[in-house]
Amino acid sequence: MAKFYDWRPNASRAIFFLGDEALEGGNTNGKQDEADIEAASRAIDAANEAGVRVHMYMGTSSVMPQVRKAIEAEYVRVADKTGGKSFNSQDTFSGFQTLLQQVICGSRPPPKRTSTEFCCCQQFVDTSPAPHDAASDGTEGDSSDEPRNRPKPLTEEQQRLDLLTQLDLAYGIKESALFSKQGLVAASRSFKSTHKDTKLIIDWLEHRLDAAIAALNPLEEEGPKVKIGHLSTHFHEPPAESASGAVPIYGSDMYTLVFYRRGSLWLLLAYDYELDIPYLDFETWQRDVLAFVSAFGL
Amino acid sequence: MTKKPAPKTKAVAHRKTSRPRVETAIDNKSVKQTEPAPLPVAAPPVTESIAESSDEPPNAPRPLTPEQKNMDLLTQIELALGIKETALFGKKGLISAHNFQISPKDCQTLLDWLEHRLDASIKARQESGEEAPEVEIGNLRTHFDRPPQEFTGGAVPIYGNDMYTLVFYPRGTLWLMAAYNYELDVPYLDFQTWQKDLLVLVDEFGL
Repeated sequence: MAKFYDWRPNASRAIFFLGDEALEGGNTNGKQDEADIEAASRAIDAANEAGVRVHMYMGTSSVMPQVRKAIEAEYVRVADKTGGKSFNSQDTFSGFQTLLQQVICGSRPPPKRTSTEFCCCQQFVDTSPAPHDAASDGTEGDSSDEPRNRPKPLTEEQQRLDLLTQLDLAYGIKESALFSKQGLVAASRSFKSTHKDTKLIIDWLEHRLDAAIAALNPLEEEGPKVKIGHLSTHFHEPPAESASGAVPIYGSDMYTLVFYRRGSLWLLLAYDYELDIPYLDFETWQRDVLAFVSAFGL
Repeated sequence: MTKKPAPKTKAVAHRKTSRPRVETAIDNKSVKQTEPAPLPVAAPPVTESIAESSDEPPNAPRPLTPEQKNMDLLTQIELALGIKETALFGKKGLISAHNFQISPKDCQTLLDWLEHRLDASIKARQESGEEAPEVEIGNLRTHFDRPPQEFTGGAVPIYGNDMYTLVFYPRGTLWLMAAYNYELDVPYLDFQTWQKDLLVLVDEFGL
């Protein structure tokens, strides 16, 4: 792509690569091999030759943690060697908007290594020619596809509905659920979990399963696989609670299931930016959603 | 021109006689202080043909398939017990519901009544001859003329007609609501058995 893309003359050349597998044909036997490393080296050479900065983002992956670390190291190498920046799913969780700002504003030519964080350079945004002047055709800002970073107002009729339905209508959260200590108490129509997987999720949330998970790693056994909503994953690590009380389970880079403890219950909400969340960043989404939930006494 | 469908007749005439009735007169405007549906002293004899009828309420939960057991509690309550209207209330609002709606204002009045009893305000209204404000809860319209009364099993009932009662159960910080709607969807002849089976199912979910 660095070689053959129809770059505009004097354009700032940058590629933002998003992936969750090794770089040559995906994971072979769940591992990274020599071909993947060679592919990374070829990509570095091609990018440098074409003057392209490559930013790399590695999403969540179902491979073993050790394998994931090795793959991520190659992502970091490609970014480092081309003057780009590397990210992983943890960065997305704290805000995809911030991440994109770093990518865009860190793409000024010529590619060069920096020792400081990229900043959002308004001058760059103001002065660089846009490939397509969206403002001139009146679509910018008014587009219905544009995330609005605020809930949709509900009609009086919609306000008669329950919290889970209102979360869908106001925030576009299609998958939501309430778990008790022993089962799935309530769920939106789009959320499904088998009885067995529900038990496993609750065990993981309530009891962390530290010892069970630690016992798996030395043996290089995979953690128990669970399918929750539209996400399939393995519990390789105990739940990690953020400062705001969120316990995330990562799916693709755009899809995260977030659990919040509410009394004896767990509230689950899907942060699915790609499909239905009218929010550009997670922190704003979380703040608004939790305020909404709190208004219901949960 | 589309013909108006004929009004539904009662599916099984004997249901009404075998069904335990609320002991006081029907009054949609007040919250009765009786047990939701007391057991009859003696159950009426059941003929063989009635027992075998597919229309006959089985007085037991329907067995669920493995697929149905994957569903959430409120859905399972509908599938196993035939209870179409169910809801979970938080301290300030309606958290989750099946076939049930309530306005935020009426929801707040209901929760105030359940949580705080409103004894003094109800008494003051009675003394002044003022009617309590009307609330619409699901398919039921009523006035909170009396404080809530809790019965065996923790049930707090709100009566509609003799076939339709909304029953609330405190569950931690939540209130579980289930509609005992004999006429439409509850495959139970008596309230006590219905409640026992409902609470067993709810208990399995740790609620």
